[in-house]
Amino acid sequence: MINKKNAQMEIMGLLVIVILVIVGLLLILTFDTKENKQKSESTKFSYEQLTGTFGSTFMETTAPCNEIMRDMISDCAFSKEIICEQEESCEYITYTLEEIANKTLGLAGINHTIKISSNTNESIIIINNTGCIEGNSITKTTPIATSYEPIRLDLIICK
Amino acid sequence: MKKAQMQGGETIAVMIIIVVLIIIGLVFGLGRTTEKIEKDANQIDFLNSIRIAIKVTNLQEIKCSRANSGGNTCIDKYKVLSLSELIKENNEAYVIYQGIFENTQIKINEIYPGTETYTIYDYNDSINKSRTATYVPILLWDPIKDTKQFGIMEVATYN
Repeated sequence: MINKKNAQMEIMGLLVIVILVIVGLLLILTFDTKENKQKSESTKFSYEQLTGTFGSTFMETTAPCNEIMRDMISDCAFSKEIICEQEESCEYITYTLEEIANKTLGLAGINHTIKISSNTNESIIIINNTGCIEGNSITKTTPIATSYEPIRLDLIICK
Repeated sequence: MKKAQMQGGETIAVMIIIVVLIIIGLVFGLGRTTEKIEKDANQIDFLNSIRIAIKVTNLQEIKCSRANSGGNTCIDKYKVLSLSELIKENNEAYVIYQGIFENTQIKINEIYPGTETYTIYDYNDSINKSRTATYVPILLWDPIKDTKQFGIMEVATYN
């Protein structure tokens, strides 16, 4: 009888040790998750700056033919009269936008798709860097006012 | 006698296991504390580069004199060239700006059109040190030609 009780006590002791080890491991896992979240918060500023002001900065950029990108986009959407460096406005914008996006967003490791569209034309220009799975992206929109109808530049960033 | 010895042996074994577990826990805990301190130090450097980046974008010495940037960060190209030359050649100016820019490197990279890089300020004691960088899209205005280039301002904090 006494032996049985001793054996039971010993097993209880071992059980306590096992429970302590499991609780310790759970605590460690909890801390790990919290620290990862803090790290992603701290890189938000640079990411927001690059993605948030990309479209508006691009709009105001001047091409070597002295045309502003905003006007060239409007021309590409509606009139197709501007020729810049022997290329039509649509081709020039596509090439330039891709180049700038690769040198900024691409180098920062931000996978993206850029879409310029209007109410009547959903795909004036589309630049697909790596493609985003639908529902797994964030869109930053820059509106462009024109004398015809509003256009918008959507920077779709893959999460 | 033998039974008592066995029981004594068991008790010693259990105590050894507990001590070993405690030592493992302490070593692990110390390791994680060191890791946390390093991560916190990196975060402080990153926040510092954000703080300096915000200062630089609002610096009157390089801001565009005309309010025509459409809300984007506009920097005057010739003011940048003047300031970087002043800081590079005048020791007194370097010391004054060291108080503002601290242990950072501030560069303006032309993205389109053009590929020039202008170093406004570089903390001299920066050889072989690691850096944490923040990137901000800017419009680089040429007041003589009245054109705006797409640029990136890079503010790197030396660790």
